[in-house]
Amino acid sequence: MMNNNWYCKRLVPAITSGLLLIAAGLFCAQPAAAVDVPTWLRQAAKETLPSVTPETIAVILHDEVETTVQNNGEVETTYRRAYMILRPAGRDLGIFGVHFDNETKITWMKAWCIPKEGKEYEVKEKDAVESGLTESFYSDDRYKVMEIPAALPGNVIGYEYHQKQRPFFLQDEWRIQGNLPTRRSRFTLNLPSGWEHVAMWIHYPEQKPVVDTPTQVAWEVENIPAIKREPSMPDPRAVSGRMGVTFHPPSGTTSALGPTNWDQIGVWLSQLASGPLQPTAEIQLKVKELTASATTWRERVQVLGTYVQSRIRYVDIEIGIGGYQPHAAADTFHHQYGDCKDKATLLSAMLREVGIPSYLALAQTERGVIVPEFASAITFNHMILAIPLPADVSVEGLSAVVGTSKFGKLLIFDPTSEYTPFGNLPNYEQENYILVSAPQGGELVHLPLSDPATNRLVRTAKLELHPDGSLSGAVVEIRSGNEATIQREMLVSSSATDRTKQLESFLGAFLRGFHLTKASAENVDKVGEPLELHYEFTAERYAKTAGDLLVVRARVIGEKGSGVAEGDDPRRLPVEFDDTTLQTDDFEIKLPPGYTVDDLPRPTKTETEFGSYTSQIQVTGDTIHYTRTYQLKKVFVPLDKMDELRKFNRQIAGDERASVVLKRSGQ
Amino acid sequence: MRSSRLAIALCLLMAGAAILLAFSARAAADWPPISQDELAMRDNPAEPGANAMIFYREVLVNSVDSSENYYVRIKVFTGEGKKYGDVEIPYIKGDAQVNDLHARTIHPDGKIIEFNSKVMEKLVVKAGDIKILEKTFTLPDVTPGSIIEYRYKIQRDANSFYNITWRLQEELFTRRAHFVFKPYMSPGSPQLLWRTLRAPGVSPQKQKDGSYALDINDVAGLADEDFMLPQDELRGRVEFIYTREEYAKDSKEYWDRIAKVFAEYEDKFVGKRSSIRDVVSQVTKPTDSAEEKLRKLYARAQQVHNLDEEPSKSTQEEKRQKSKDNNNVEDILKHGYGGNDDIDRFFVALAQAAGFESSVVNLTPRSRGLFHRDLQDWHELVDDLIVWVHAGDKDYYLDPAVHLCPFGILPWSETSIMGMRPTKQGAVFVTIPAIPSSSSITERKLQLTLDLDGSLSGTLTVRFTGERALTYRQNEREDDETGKKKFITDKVKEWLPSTAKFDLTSVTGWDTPETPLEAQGNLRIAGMGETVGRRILLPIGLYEAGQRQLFDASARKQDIYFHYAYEDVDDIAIQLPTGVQASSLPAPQVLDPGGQLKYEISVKKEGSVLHVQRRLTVGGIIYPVAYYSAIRQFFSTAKSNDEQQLVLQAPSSGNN
Repeated sequence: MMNNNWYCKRLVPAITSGLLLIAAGLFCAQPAAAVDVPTWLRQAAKETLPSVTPETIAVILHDEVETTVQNNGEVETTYRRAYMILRPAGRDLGIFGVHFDNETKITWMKAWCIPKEGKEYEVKEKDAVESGLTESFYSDDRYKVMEIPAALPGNVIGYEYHQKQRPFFLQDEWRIQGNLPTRRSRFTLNLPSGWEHVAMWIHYPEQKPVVDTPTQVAWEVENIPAIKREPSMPDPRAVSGRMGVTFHPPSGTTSALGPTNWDQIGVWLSQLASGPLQPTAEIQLKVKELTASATTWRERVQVLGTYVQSRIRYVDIEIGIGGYQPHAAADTFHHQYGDCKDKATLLSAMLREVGIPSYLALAQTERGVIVPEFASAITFNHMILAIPLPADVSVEGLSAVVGTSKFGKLLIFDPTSEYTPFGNLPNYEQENYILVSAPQGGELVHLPLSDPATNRLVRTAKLELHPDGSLSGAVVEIRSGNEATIQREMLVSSSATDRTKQLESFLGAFLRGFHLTKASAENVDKVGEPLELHYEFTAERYAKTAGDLLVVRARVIGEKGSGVAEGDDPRRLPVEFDDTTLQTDDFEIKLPPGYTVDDLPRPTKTETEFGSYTSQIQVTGDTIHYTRTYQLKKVFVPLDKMDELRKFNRQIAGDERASVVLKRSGQ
Repeated sequence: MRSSRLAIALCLLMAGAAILLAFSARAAADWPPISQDELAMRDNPAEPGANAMIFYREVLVNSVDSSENYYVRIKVFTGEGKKYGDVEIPYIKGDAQVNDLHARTIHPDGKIIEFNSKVMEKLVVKAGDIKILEKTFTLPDVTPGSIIEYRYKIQRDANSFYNITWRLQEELFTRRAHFVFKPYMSPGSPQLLWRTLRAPGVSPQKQKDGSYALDINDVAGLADEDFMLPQDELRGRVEFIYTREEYAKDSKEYWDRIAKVFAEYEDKFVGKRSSIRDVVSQVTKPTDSAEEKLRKLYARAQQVHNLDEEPSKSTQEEKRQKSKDNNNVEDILKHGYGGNDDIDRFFVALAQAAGFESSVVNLTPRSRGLFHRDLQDWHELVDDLIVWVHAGDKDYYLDPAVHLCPFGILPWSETSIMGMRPTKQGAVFVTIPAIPSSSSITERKLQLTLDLDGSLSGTLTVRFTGERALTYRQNEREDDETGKKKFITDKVKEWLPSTAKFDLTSVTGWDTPETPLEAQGNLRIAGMGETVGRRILLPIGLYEAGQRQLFDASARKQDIYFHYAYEDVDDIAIQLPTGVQASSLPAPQVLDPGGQLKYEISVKKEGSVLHVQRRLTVGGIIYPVAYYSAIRQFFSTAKSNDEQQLVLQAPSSGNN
């Protein structure tokens, strides 16, 4: 998978809940001699609870961030949070971790519990467990993990900690909305005299500051509803309320303290990465070798891109400024491994050797997180490459070409996505933004969805039904675009035994008593070619006997549609699909001798803004011919289209269950 | 407290040590030679299609100079196999140092790429004065076909007696492995014992210098499959143990000695106390039958507040709780609380005071591992207790310490295993009986009406008994009513198609273990029946029709392991719409392949109601892998029978 952690350490704790609990196993808090619950927590405990659903495990009574900026750009931040625990599952909130690393220090930390009955508790920083367990292979991330006693229903728990850092960007993000309802949330920004700020409200109505003086500005929001998780929902950051704030010294002196608009961020990144781009003789030699027979621009880009994509092993590395700055191309090439920014940087250096310029581009692997109105590097988590397309190069077959105002046409290439064909974009980068960086400035670029026909799955089957109801035959699947990418990732990451198991697991969803008699895959390693799967099977009792009838499900294998919103439960959030896609099935089922078709299901046809589905069954002589086409044209389905989506999915599910009734001739 | 934190830290260390451990005392330039065959190898004939294999690994632990040397050589076959080039070596700061790390990659053409990057040091966890770190590094330019090899030394700070385990089996196939252990022995030091587990024929050889050595070849990789025993129970290993205990020549002698020590402790704790006799008098009547008395005493023991069943507490909470220790059963009576073992012993005291023969039974619960009697390790039998009582002419095995566990039932993890009853005369080994499938039933009853559009609506009643009910009660014991309702609703929804709407109306039995856990609700399933021309088609196994079948893979390596035997019983009544007729009913089906597996399904027409009855019985716990194909066939055929279609004629059509 991609480097999902790049930069995320500054946004959300990368530590997983499981690791948090492991760390929690080591707690050894000493009883506090005297408990000194702060006033803010006592006041929070007196708050009137907002109206909540019975499932709510806790309410955030008080959530406060106070950021104090020094003239030299240093930032001290105080975080305060209080919960009222409502249900037993809220106990988990009593264990929390605070991030720190070489750039961010925790200077003070305490937690308390105000039980509804009995004495109060206090936990001090010395009681915390320190953990470096993260999902990254290399990382300097640390967490101080605390356990608050008696996080039980009816009790109020709270914590406060202070952080000190010298951020790379003079920005902060106030996350107002999470998965718990919040009674009151407050953000305070203390600025040196003369400094300015700009606030941007994202997915939330703009609120006026409750304090607004030349050196302090504060906002407060009350009774914020929770964002409840739903299947196939967009990333929580794409739907939850937050406020981004950028602060800077008086105009004209910003650059020394960090970039504050897309243009400046682009410059900043290109400067950060310029050193690591220097090639070595080793790289030059390799480039010469790889491009020896490449005669066109496209061949040169493809051969070098494919090399970095497939040969440079992805290893997640997050150390110090390395969280932002790529390693030198020379090092990445020498060791033949690196993370996304290392791979992009190496490819950039290699392209430069053959006279092809390129730009590093920041990306985000979740759609909807980047908001054009809030220029910020802190919301990106990935790095790719943008390569200017010469005027004489045809865009045919290159769906990853996009027009920009500063850089003209760019071919976007993700060297980390090992199985995305050259000229295509990984699905998560489509309908998303990237920030192209260059010494002359940056540009935020929207990457469009690919045409559904780019992501094809064509499944054909020639099958034979036998008088005892068993079914046998051969299937061919041809996949291209992201349909191939996903399947390739599965195949490549599996041993031969596991590949068979995967195919058997797929067939097992549709067939009983089956035997996979033959299976092969072609073009698994040829990323640019369509992926082909060929398999043959026999399945017992496929057709069900009912008196003199045989009942046969014509669809046989494969599932279209998503099942999302198929039930009657109300939906609160939009639906997001991974991909556009165009899929067709073409199945022939030869009937057993002596049987004729007695009843056929009706054809299905449904067309919506986001997708379409058609299917029909025809009988030709002794053969049933089942064909269907499924297309997804959009990846977001808004809330007002949920009934349409429900109907769409139910029609597909109905068609997939549809059976042909056969009758023995002469009955 | 330090010791327990250290224990957790060590556990973490072991859990994180997924690395392949081996030894070499050679200098960096002195790698073992690589043959052309090794360079050219593209697949492992013994495990075709594997991602990688271990050509060779060495482990040397030298307790004399407190060093451990590890070496491993791995052949990478596939892209996925490249992950073995990422290496993590955990260690505890202050306890050990990792030195002399060398690594390299060798390409199939013989090109060698030395590892010369920085080894990163990563904090795993720090608590108080304990710090667990990890050395992490990535081998350079690893490609399919590469050979990777590395070695390192762990140097501990002082001579000490620490037990050693050689893991003989790894995730990857091992062609050859070499183990050496040089123990530290001095006058007055503990004796050293070694033992093997799941390693038939394996025997470390004592060398002239006092060390032990072992060579093994062609060890299969340990597969990870559903429904298998815990991996640690399948992995072959050799353990070296320092002990001051006298080692018995046979296990009977050992266990008799241990049992006498245990029995002495039990006698002291339980004793004969008048206050306990008073409780028995208050709780039971002289006219009660033996079992009636026992049931009442069991209920009394369950009234003791179980501290071990409480949600885990922070240190501060524990200190404030100030629970006094129970030193005997009278303390339990006085305090009204106790841990699991206290409650079991309290029940033993009650049973003995009532005139029954009774004692604790020491065992290893299956949830933690299996008991290996021949290993002669008493530590295996101190994790868990149950109670044996001989009352009337029956033997009872009970565990009143398990909250909400009804009389006559044990948690699955305490069944179908051997336990030891300690007596003054020695060990009495007993087999804790299996739970019959009839004790753990999920019984689902549906009263439905079919509409002409194929939708079904009506009521669903589900009853869980025995292990099923106990497991759910235990899982949900800390949850509130909202959580419990969601648990049951989600459980029911797992059985139904995604179009189903289920509204739970009542749940009873959460707190009454002697009755089934029973839930009722209203159900509607849109589009369950499929209209095809003049007909409506409806699968007869409504619940199972949309579920995946178990065991769809054609091949398997490990035995099949269920936690407990169980039965699923379905009773479905479908009221047909006026004028709709069943044109034909599927014939009843019975599958009885042996091995206590059984399946039956039938449909009857009772007026305008179709009545489906189904029962699936899994009566065994462990099925040898040799029977896998029969078991797969059983579940596959059962699933196929669930998918049989009821063919109904719509009212407007005439008979065909």
